[in-house]
Amino acid sequence: MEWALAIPQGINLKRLDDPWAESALTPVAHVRAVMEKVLGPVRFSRLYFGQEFCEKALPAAGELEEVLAAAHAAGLAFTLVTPYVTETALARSEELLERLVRLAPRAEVVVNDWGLLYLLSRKFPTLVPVLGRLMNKILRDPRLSGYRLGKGEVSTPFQMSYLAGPAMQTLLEEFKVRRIELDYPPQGLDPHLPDWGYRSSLYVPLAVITTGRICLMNAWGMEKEEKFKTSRQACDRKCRFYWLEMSDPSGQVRKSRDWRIVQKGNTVFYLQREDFLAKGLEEAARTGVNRIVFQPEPI
Amino acid sequence: MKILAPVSSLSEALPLIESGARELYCGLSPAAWGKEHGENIWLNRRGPGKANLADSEELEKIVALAHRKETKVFLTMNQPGYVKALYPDLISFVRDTLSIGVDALIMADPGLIRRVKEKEPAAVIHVSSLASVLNSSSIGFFRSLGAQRIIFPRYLDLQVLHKMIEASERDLEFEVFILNDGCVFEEGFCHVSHAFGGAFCHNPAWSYKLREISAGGNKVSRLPAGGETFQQNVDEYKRWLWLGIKNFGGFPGPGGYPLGMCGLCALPALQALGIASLKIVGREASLRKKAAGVKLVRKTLDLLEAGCSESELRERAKELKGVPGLCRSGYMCYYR
Repeated sequence: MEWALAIPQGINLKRLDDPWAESALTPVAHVRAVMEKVLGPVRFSRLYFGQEFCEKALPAAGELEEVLAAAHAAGLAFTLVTPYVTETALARSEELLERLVRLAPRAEVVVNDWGLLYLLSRKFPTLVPVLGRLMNKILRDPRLSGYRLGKGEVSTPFQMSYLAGPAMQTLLEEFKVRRIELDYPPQGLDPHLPDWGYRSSLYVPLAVITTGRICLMNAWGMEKEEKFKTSRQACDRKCRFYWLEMSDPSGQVRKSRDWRIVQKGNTVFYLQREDFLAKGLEEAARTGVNRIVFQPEPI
Repeated sequence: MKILAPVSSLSEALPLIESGARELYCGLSPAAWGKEHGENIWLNRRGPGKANLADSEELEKIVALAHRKETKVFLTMNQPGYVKALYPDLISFVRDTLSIGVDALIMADPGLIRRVKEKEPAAVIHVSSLASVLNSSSIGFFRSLGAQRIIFPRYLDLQVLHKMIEASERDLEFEVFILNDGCVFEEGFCHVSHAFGGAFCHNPAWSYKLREISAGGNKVSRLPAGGETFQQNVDEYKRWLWLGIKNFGGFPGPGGYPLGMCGLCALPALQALGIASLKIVGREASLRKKAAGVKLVRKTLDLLEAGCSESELRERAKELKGVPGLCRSGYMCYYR
């Protein structure tokens, strides 16, 4: 198993020295214990840098350079993680890729936007594209229950993905995508994941429920007429200082022993508790997942 | 610019066309599909029920009627991704619908688009907002697959739309949302299903506890300058949800026109951008609401075509909508 350590921003670089340092959001020691119990000793050999959710949090080129140098010094392979981007951030994304290709021409780039995949294939053919976890379209609905959940060796429709179909396999082959990324969904991983035809990565311990360009945290403190707007580019990045614990007193989304629902910045996640996390890692090992991405802070 | 209206039965088609729609879109939920694939696997983003037509005979009649009235009909096959077991039925379904004269297919799955263009090169493909086409490179990606129209996701502001269109090839058409129904999150990156108890995000009961991030035991929180508490922000968020996302609870304004998300004030700018089509959301809505929506957009377009200035049109659109106070909040605007 390959282990990747994920940091969203340059200010998280100190985690490289101490991957198991406490995190505001993630019970790191518990997660480590589960990972090591299920899969053995964790030795990170790759650094994931960046995040999938917010174009406003794209790193500066200098930040990328600093993190890349630190990864190199630590003997870690490097993966740049990119978010979905509007036209506003497309040029900045391209500048970032230009810098990356100069410094590490064969680095990996996780894409969560068809436009960035297209850009990579046209302008940066040496960089290695990885299809991010927002692109597999597998439901991660905390309300999935009952007969819709997986039952062992037979794939259920909710475990399968369009990525496993011949049409997408051919298309992604043309774009040189050999690796796809996954969350552990409530319904479990497809027992026939090895037949999908890709190498695969699993993120722990946070799985993405939903994400968007309208940000509750960004709106805090703004004048009413400025709240909940996508056109406003200014952001004071309050997501660096706060996160939200969510609960639903109406019971539409029930409390679960498997996870807690949290929001960080513009994205809602379920943070997996120990037994559910262990189950996901066991299934990952069984279904040929060959990279675990440990991401204590998603954004 | 043409008005694109949702239709979910033959009886709706003529009233919508007579109200001003020049394009219709619909979905189909054939009984055979449900029997073969189960009630949880939907052919489009709406489940069996009043949002979809029941059978291809009804679709055929709508197409015939619409074509007599010089109106086009588009069919939704807009799931973000279809698993491979469905492909034989999907391709056969595409062939059947094209043979009865459907003018375009609305799709988000790049693999399906590629396969349909291989099998049926003449098929016209509109790329759904579910495909999250947020930048010009993404437009290029879908153009390379053979798409002819891009449906922009909600809340791309006018400046971003301008840059995307400027950077794109001229052989594509563009469609935008003009009326009804918001989405809190990015539709194409939302991993929940409305089938499991409604919209996960709309739920007004959500409670948020603010947690501060500490580093080495030291709090690193940073409060916003204006003194607003986070709970006040959440209260305002719920007001925005009610007005814009939940369409003021579905109640119409005093003139009978629908409230909720709207882009009428942006019509002059959308026209200048060369937008081809204005989409009214809500296949599951009543005919009354759909027809009122079409009439509202038509009246505003008439003002524009009569040479109304931009500022005058904005005021007149607000008058038509009938709730200028709510309009001023901006919480019902697609283009802010």
